[in-house]
Amino acid sequence: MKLFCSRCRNPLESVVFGVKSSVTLYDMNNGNFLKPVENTSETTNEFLCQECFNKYADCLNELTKDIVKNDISISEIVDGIQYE
Amino acid sequence: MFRFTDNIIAQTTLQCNLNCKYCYEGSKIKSSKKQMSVADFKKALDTAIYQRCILGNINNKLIWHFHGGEPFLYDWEDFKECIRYIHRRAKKFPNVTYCVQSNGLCINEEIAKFFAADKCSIGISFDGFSTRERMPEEKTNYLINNLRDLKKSTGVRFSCLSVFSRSNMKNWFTDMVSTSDLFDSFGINVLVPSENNDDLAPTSEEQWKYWLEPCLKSYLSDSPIKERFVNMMVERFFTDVVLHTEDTDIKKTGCFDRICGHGINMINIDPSLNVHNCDKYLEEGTFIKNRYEENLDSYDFLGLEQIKRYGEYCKNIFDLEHKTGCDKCYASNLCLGGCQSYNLSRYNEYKLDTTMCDIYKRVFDFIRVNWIEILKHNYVQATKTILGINPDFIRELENTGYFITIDSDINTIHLYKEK
Repeated sequence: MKLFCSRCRNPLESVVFGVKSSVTLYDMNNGNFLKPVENTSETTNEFLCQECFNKYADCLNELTKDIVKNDISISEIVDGIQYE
Repeated sequence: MFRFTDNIIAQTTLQCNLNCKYCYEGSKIKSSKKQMSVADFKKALDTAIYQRCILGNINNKLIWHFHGGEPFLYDWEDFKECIRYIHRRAKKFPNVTYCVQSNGLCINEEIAKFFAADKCSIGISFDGFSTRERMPEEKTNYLINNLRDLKKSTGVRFSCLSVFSRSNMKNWFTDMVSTSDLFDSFGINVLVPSENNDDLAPTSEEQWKYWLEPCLKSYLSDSPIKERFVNMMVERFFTDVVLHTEDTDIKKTGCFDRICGHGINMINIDPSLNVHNCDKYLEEGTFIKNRYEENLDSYDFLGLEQIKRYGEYCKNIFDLEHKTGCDKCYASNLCLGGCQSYNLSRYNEYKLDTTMCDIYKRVFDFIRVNWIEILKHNYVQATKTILGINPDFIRELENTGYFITIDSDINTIHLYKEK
């Protein structure tokens, strides 16, 4: 059975990105997960080819750059998590 | 950039008290800083924890490798403060830990006691007694005797990492056997050809004769030399061929995987907090100027940039494997394919090392023929969750009086004899 990219509808081959709230990476040659990207138990609802995933990643990075505030230092965040 | 990284090779100092001919670390690296400040260390560690354990999973593994140069030339009080900081973080993020790789010359009683109390084994770079590439023979003897004394007096533990080259290969195995009272484990890095070291790089036949074959044969005894790569191949054979297994637990990857973890599960940081794919061959090779470099503050939402690069890297390797026929090779699960960081810096492309094809098949055939004897003398750990045993192998045990036992708590198999 052939799988197709959810965005461009081209046949999926080689390396495939499964996308939901996290990303899973598959080797289409043998159906295995590609380490070390964690496999999750949730069902992937979108399979993307490399080109479409790259566009998806670029878009998310661009959108979130403005949202993520840099006025709190990383160490303060990690400390805050630690001592909650 | 750390979302999927569980190994950070950190060059806390570029200072070194040796000048090994084949060294790819340390003084050649073009970093504006020669030492990583404690403040920078904390910033780098917290950045990695934030991406790996807060945006990822609180239980994600993260190992900080103190590297160099020579790590024990880093100010000792600063070193201890860094380790204390790691412990502080580990209270909340339980799989954040550290390790050290050293030439051992600076280790004194105070340092040994500290690491013994911390229950952290120190990695020692030791090539054997017969080579002068790292240090003079008398210095090597002094080092080993000193480490033995420290182990006896403090209980500190050591592991051994050797550079395997033509200058030490003939005596490497016997030197490791003679130091098996000192070192808990052994590993090697095979020296690969470069402009300075072409004459020192061992051929594939030499790697078989002086490293692989003697280590494999030692598995047929009760005192094997479990060199890490040979041990990985033995474990993989049993996991993928003898057993039925499921890949439910993502294990650490790095140098020991077909898709090596450079830039994803393994990353290098220099004292100026520049981030590179890998510490290997950073400053050698015609194309080193093309190497991937990023600053710690570079933005990468949820590691998506890391996955993009990794996906492209996987695809390149898969295409190569298809061209060379590696994807159809029966020994492919034991084979590494070569160091891609090295290939990028020397040749500006990914390559598969086909000079070792025959050798890896020999390794596979050896384990296949001797699997029963190996299991009689060793508890072999599977690298995936064990679901069952390949019936072909159960049939081979018929009438031998031996049975396979599986310890599911520690995921190992062994043979026991019916009384």
